[in-house]
Amino acid sequence: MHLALPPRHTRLLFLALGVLLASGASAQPISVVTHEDTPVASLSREDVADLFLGKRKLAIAGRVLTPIDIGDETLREAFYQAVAEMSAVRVNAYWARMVFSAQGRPPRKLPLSEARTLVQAQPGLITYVPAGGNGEFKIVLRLP
Amino acid sequence: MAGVSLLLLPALAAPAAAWGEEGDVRVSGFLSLVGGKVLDGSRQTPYNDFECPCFIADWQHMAVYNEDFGLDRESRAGIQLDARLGEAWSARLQAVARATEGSRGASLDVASITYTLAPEWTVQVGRKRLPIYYYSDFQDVGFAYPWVRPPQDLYGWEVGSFNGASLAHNTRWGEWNARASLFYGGEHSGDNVLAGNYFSGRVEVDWHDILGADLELTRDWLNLRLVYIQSHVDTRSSLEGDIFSGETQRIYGLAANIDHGNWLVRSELSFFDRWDFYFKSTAAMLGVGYRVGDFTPMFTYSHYRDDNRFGDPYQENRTLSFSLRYDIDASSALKLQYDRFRDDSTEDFVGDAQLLSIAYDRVF
Repeated sequence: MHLALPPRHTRLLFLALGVLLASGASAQPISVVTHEDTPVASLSREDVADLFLGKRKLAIAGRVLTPIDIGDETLREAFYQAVAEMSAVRVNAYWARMVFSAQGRPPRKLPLSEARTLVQAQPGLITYVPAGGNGEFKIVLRLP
Repeated sequence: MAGVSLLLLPALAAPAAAWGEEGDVRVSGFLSLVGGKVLDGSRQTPYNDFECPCFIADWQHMAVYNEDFGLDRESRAGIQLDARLGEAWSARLQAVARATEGSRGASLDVASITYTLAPEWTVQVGRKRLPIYYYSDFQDVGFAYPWVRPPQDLYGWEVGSFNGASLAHNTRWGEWNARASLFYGGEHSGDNVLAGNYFSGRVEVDWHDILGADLELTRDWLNLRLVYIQSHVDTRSSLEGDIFSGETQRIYGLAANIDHGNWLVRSELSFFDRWDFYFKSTAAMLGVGYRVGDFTPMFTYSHYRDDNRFGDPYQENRTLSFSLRYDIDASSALKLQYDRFRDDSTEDFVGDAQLLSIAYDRVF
């Protein structure tokens, strides 16, 4: 049996993060971003949650907006807490159900730097990044 | 309403291409290592071929624990290939390998082709799990739920998958996300381990003309599911001959789940109607848990009762469980569970039992 426990300090960090989020204060502001040429002005928190959880597809100019998830676990945890009040574990458990019952597939998950490059290069993709210095994107939702 | 340029495509429009999504194949999988031991129980003689004191942990595959600790009852692993075949077509294959004696080896539980008619409409053809219960579709994926196993006073029936077709619709009604599906098909089980408990010899079971519909509604912290399934049933025993031929059974189910802050509530009601020719049964469960950091302790109560039209003895049982889930990381969990099972049947059944089980679940 493989029990890969993260180092103690990492777990403490996550616990501290969880406490911060539970008390309503987000650890870091996050921007939900897309390419300048994607024909969408802004999205609500619910739109973004539905999009990343595959509950709804958003079609723009006859094509479906494609979410790109981020591999950085701290950022990912903060993002899903902010848009859906769900921990990363709950998001993964939710996708385990959807995937293995053939109801859907999760968004592609990329490292932050790769997701940035991809979203800058191509309209119609949507991802999330730490807020600040995001001049290269169109921000469709700001998460406090 | 944010995003004025958003519009949902009309249902019958041509399949919508996704921006930047190319054809690809994804491999995913799940693993559950489950061990258990009956601590104490009232029955001292074997139940059918099972050594007792005993606890039935999985009806569909007849995974039964006794006083010897065993990892070979419920442990399982599954792998799924998920291929996107162009803009509107995708294909899935899911194989599950089980350690359970009598159901040992690998089986193909899902093999389906999906066609996306429009963003909100999909058609699936092939082999799928039969969604009698809320967890039916993903009962093998331990990581997706809080217990070691969904309460067995409800879960598990003769048939778990079927061959057929389904039409599914996803939409949003006001504040509610809705998913509805309609399905039709059939299933043949050549040597049914569950029916084998109640009839002698090798028992063949056919469910044909399975026709069903379900509706799942989600709003904020509340999730509801309704299901109705009917089918014709044939049951034949190698020793007793035809037991049922083409009789109609009806299944009704209701589930309500809450995830509010750190609280979680899981509840389900299932009603099985074979009264015209045999029996009817009612099963229910209610679980309440509270998330504390990476831990989810939970109490669950479940109950099963059937009645037989011939006035034969009935089966009735109830279980009180305490389960504790610990999330090791975002993809794996460790669980410990204690079940106190009480047998109130008037028929000769398994007797009371207490079970301790431990599970390691992961998805990849």
